[in-house]
Amino acid sequence: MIAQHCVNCGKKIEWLVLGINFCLFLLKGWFALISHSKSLLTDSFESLANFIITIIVLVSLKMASKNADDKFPYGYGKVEFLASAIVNMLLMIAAIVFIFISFSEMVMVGPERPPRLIAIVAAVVSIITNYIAFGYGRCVGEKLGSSAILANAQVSRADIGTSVVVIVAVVGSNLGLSQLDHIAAIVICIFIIKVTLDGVNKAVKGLMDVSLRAEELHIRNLIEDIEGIERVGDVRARLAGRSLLVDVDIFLPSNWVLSKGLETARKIKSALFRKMKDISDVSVQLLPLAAPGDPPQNRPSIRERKK
Amino acid sequence: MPGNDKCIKCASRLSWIGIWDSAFLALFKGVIGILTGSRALTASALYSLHDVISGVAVLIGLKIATRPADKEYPYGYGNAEYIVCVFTSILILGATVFLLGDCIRIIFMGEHAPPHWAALAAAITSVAANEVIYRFNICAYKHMNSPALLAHAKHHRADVISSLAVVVAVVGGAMGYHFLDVVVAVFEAGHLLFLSIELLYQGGSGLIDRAIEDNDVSLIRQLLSDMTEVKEVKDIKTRQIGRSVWVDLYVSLPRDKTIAEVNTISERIRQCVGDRIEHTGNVSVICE
Repeated sequence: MIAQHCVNCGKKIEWLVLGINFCLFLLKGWFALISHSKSLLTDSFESLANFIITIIVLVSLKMASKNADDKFPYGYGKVEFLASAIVNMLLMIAAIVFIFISFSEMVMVGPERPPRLIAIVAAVVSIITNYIAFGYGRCVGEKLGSSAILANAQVSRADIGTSVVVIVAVVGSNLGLSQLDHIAAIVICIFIIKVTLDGVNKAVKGLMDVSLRAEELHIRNLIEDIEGIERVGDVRARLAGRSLLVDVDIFLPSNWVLSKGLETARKIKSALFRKMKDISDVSVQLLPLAAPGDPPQNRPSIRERKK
Repeated sequence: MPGNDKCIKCASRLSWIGIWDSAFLALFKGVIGILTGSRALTASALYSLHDVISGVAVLIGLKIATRPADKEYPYGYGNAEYIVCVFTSILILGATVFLLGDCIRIIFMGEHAPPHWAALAAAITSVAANEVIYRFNICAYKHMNSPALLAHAKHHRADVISSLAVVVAVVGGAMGYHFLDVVVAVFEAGHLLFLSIELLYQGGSGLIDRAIEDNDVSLIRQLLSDMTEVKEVKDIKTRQIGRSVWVDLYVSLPRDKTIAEVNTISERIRQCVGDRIEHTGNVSVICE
């Protein structure tokens, strides 16, 4: 049983992380300007990136909840993936440009005045708030069993790492390692590239309708025992944003009348809707089980049929 | 298929030749455009890049996207083509906005030095190369009657015109009309903006499972209602996965038929829809 206050936390957490990231972006950006630390500047860019990604996710969730219509009969769920793919790609490009800028400054400008130690203050604040956000997110995510919230918590934890890099760089360059601040900026950029690549990868898989092994297996287990089903054929599930669209083929005795088959299909639907709350649509195709000796009947071939 | 063997061979090579030609020109014009400071030539290079990308997307559509569905991607690979469209159109969009910003900066900052004669040489090369490829495409199109070849031909014609505009800009610049270069660049960038947004919309809406044309949906509805066994068509859902069309039909059939009979009817529906709608990937018949 999920406690009520956990559900409330779950609703609040996305907005909380959003607020934290925006405040951190302002704080780190401001401190980066007064301390002349390049690594803190890239770190603030990372907070901005997180802020933008979260905003896009929230906005696209609104769009995705729009009902299906004639133009998009399967609904708008995939908007979330599309938005995430585009935003992550743009941020990745920005990180690559940052790397070039840091490189050229390192080579052309040469050793500069080390950044002022005040940069450390912002980095420490960033570490503390991100740690709180991580702990909070992990608690809520585990209680609610939401992988999306847990993934967000991981992002907060990763931000701690970049702020540690900033502290090392600022201290190190004040101790005489003059290029350390630039190098740290590049390291943080590489880190951002990795995170955004993961985001692009995930979104592209969603857009390509990648196979959802775990969900498909779960569905298969749930419907296997329903009375009358001789064999479960193809089970395919795809994600439209956060909801699942399911296609199931079942084999029934070939002498059953259709009304009995429809009854079975209804049972399948209600079992799936009851047990898996992410499912938004189930299509059940009824196929006859071949009599012994007949050639095996499979689902009609997926291959493209040329005219 | 009309056309002799020679034409078929020529047509199958043309898309590759077109892509390499555009790729070479994009690089050539891009480098010279940046070195000589001719914004018009740089815009023209982006134009060629746009051609490369649409050509490559088509090839990917033909190669990867027709790969049959497997365990990893149970709905097939068709969407790969749209993903290429989306990512590359964003890149072009970014480059174009950057170029436009640069042009606006020049307009407000004032005087702009005339571009070097090297820009002229690059533009003339581009005009000649694209005109040749255009002629080949038109010839192949006339013999094979393929709309794809006509589309290729039109791309190359557009390239010829854009490069001619660069020639005018460079010559005009040498004669003292320095602003011509920026003006041509702004026009070309504007058109590119339009083209890449169109490409983005095509890819993006395909990825969000856009339905096929209304006409085709009504055609399917007509086909189904012509069948005596089909009592009612509850819903028709279609989506495009790259080049193939996937159809889910929700129909109600007489309840006293056996599952075997239902399957025979469904098979006929599949056959019928597959024959009338081009490139059907999969047709599911769901009884309600």
